[in-house]
Amino acid sequence: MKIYKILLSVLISAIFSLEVLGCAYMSSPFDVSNDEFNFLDKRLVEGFDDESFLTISNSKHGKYWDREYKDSKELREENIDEWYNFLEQKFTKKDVEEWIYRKKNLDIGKKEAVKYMAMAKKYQKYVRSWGKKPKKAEVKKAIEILDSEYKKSNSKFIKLRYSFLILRLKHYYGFYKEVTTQTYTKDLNIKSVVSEWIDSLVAGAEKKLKNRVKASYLFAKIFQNSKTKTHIGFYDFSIKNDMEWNELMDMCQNSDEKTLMYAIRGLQGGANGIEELENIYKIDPDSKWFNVILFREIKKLQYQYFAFKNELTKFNLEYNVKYENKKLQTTLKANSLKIANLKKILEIVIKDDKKKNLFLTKLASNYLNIFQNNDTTKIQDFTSLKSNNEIEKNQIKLLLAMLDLLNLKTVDENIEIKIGDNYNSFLKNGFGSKNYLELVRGLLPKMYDKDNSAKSHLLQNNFELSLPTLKKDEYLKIKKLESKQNKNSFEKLIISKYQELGGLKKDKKLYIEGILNLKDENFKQAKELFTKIDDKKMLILQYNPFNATKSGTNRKNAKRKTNLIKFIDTFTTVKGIATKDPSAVMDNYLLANAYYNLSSFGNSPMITRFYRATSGNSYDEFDEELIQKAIKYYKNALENTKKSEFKAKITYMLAKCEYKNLIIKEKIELDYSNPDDMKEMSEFNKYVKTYGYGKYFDKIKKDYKDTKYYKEVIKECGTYNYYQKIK
Amino acid sequence: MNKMIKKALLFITVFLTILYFLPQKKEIQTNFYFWENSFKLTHFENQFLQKLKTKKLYIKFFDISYQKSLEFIPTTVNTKKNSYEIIPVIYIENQVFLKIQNLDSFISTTTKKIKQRIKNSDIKEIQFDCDWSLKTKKNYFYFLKKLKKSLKIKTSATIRLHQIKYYQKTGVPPIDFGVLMYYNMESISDYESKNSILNNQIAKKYHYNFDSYPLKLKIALPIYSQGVLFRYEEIVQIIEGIEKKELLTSNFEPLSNNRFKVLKSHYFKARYIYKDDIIRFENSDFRDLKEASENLNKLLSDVEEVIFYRVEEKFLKGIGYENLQNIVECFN
Repeated sequence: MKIYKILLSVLISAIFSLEVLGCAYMSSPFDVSNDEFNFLDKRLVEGFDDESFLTISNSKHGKYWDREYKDSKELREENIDEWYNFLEQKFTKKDVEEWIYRKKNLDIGKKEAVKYMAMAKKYQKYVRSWGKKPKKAEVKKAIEILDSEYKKSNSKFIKLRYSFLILRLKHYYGFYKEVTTQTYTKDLNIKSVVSEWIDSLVAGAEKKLKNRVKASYLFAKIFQNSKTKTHIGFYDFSIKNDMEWNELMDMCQNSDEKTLMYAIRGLQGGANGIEELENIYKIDPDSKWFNVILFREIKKLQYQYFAFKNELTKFNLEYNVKYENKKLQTTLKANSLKIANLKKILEIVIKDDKKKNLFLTKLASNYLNIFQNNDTTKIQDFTSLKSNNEIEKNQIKLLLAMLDLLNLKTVDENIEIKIGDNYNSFLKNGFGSKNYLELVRGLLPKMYDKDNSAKSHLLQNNFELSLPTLKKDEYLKIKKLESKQNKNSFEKLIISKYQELGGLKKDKKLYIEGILNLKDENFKQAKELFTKIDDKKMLILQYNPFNATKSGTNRKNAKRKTNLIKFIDTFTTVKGIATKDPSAVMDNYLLANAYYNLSSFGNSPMITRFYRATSGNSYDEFDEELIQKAIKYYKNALENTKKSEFKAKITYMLAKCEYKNLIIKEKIELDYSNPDDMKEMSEFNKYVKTYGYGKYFDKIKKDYKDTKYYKEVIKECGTYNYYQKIK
Repeated sequence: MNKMIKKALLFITVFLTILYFLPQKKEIQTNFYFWENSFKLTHFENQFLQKLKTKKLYIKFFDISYQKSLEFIPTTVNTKKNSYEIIPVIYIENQVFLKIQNLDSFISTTTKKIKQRIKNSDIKEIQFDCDWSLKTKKNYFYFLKKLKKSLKIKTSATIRLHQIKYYQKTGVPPIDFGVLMYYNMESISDYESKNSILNNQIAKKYHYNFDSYPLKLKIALPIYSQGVLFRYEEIVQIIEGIEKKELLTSNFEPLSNNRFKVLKSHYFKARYIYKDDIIRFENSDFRDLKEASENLNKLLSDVEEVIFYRVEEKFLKGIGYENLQNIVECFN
């Protein structure tokens, strides 16, 4: 049965080379492939709940693989199920699976089935994409053998499978006409997943015979009806001109088929869904495809609306598109036009009153009202939305709850209880809880005062502790909330989510409290807490925080790993000496290195922040003070050392600090992800030209040019060389 | 007699010396990219290339991309039955180097695949096309270094304009020479862009550091055209290989020299386009290409090869033999 996989892979590569790569659909900054901010329940679309096509991503690849994965999984499961029943459920499904796909020996007792499986495996090599191909005469012989077995067999189950092997060989070796005129499925007339595979072969053969319209018609039917070949049905549907489209329409036997064709066209990457919605409506107002396309269009728009309403994602979204602001503005402008056009159509549909169930249309229309109005307090009219259906009732409740949230200005205990209850209700009804909570997370934190910082911290950070920003009092408040006796439904929700995500075990709690103390330089308490930790691995440091190299980050794996307790001991010792005696060169130097390394630019920011920046140019509010301290102690060391090599080294470290200091002061967000922007380069030029950056680079050149260290700098430091070139 | 011979020899020597110091006309190779998924040249294309004395064809062998996993999408090119020297081009999406988990294993797979494709053929050079960024530079350069070592043939890579202007930051790939892609200059997705393929004004902003760029460069110039489809001023898709005359029909209303409004929804170039969509026609005409070449000639003194993107009958007919010759002459 591996042949199926091979055939599938051949088909996939063929499709990819011909279809997917044939045209490029452009992505928008709003492209999403997941289910964020979805307030529409897919159960509203009766008879079609395929996530792969109801999701929004414009990426053909993404959608293809999602669906292909689902199809291949179902194909395997269906096939195993059919064999399992054919073998009268005498074996486990796992055994059956291994017998089919992993050559496991199984004493099934049915000679016919054993023979079939041997044949399937024997002719597998005839259709694989690599290796030596058999001669045509051998293929013909194989077809004859399979045909003779087909005739000998008395089982329709086995016969159908032989017919698939025959047709597949014929398809593979170009006997397309014989594939398209096959009568096996009609003659045998049994319900089986194998019929779907045969249908795909027939449609593919029509395509090979250049009967593109007929092939597209068949592929469309496969898209609609097949459980295991949906992706092939969708992606092999290919109409190239108006004449072909008209011929396809003539081929359709009823309005169901016609609307199916419009739907496939409307689901394509570059389609104008709104126009296809109108087309479908004109043919059949009650077509299920109307709701499929409408659902998808609303999903696109709602993501964009809510992502901007939600403070958390708004930030991410703006951050992600900061280099493409124009692109973002274009998308927003396009959306407002799309909303207006879609609204016009829905108003006509509601007025016509031709659809049996107008619920989704009305719901969509209400959503469009929200998307169009920035002032959501004005939207109160939901009288047209009524239903006795539980799914639809849940949708109405979700819409109202969401509007309440959007109109919220403050939060108190009663509101919290309402939110908690709403969440539980959506959870019970099977839809909306996740995305409702996403919106809560985005809107509520800014309404909380300092007393409720525990709640805002957890909401803002997806119910986890954000270690880089966690303050000690916040952590203590979270602990308090965790142990509170009579929590309201919202508090229960927050804490249960927090605990769901792991909560904190003893060692981790001690570690976090220790780090929070380190951040405040409460070394004694920090050490006490760390000493109580059983899992000492937690305390190991990857880099030596007292080390300095020519690289900006000072990251060089320490030969002998140190740990947090040793760090505290050394740090307190050198700090004690350096603060009292500026002439203690080595202590001042080591302390300066430690401060630099504790900053985001150094090798150990995780000592006080639990994390290490991935790029040497990310920084936060603690860094300025740390860099200032590093400069102070480097200067002490520089003034007091007499060794010129050491002076050169310290001067170089001061140059690093000077650079980082300017980055912080000018609030420059450096990003390497966009080479075209080249922000850093232009900023660096600006530092040099406007702020006179380079004091220490000049000094090292002027005062220490004869040192070995300086010569190494010339060889290794790109920034230094660039500076010398542009200054 | 002896004197006569001496005189003759002296004359020949002087003549040859003068000839030697006279400015020589360089022989600049005119070659092409071939970018389709299966390789075949039409009779016209072959004749056109022969007239231009084209020696090399740069042909795409693989697309390497990373969607949910690594994907090698091969083209079908027979390297043996060709009258041109074939230079395989491997296109690699930048994000491959961003997402790849095991770089060494990727390098070994790629090497194997390339070796398999060029086995028993006379391939002397291989080209890599990747718009690397600062985040991928390290991986990409490592990849190039390793591939060069294991393939034991000349390697080249495409270089974008910004990678020359900012080469100290973007780095110089470890290859034998670069091919400067002198196209794709404006943002294709920006509705306001005039012509994303070639804009000499924009190009000038990048005319820096050519004097100090350490790699020897060949030049790649565009002779293709395309339509960029917009809906609500938002880019929807690119329609490749479109010709302007195809837009001069009753289905379109010209809005400007290169913008056309779709008057009714219909199938066009095998896709369905909708009423009120806008198509921006983009190409690189002779005047622009000539200007580009003249500008480049001032920046680069020793161009030995110009590669046109890409060989396709309609593009060759569009630019014409004389014009192509004229463009290449600019580098002499």
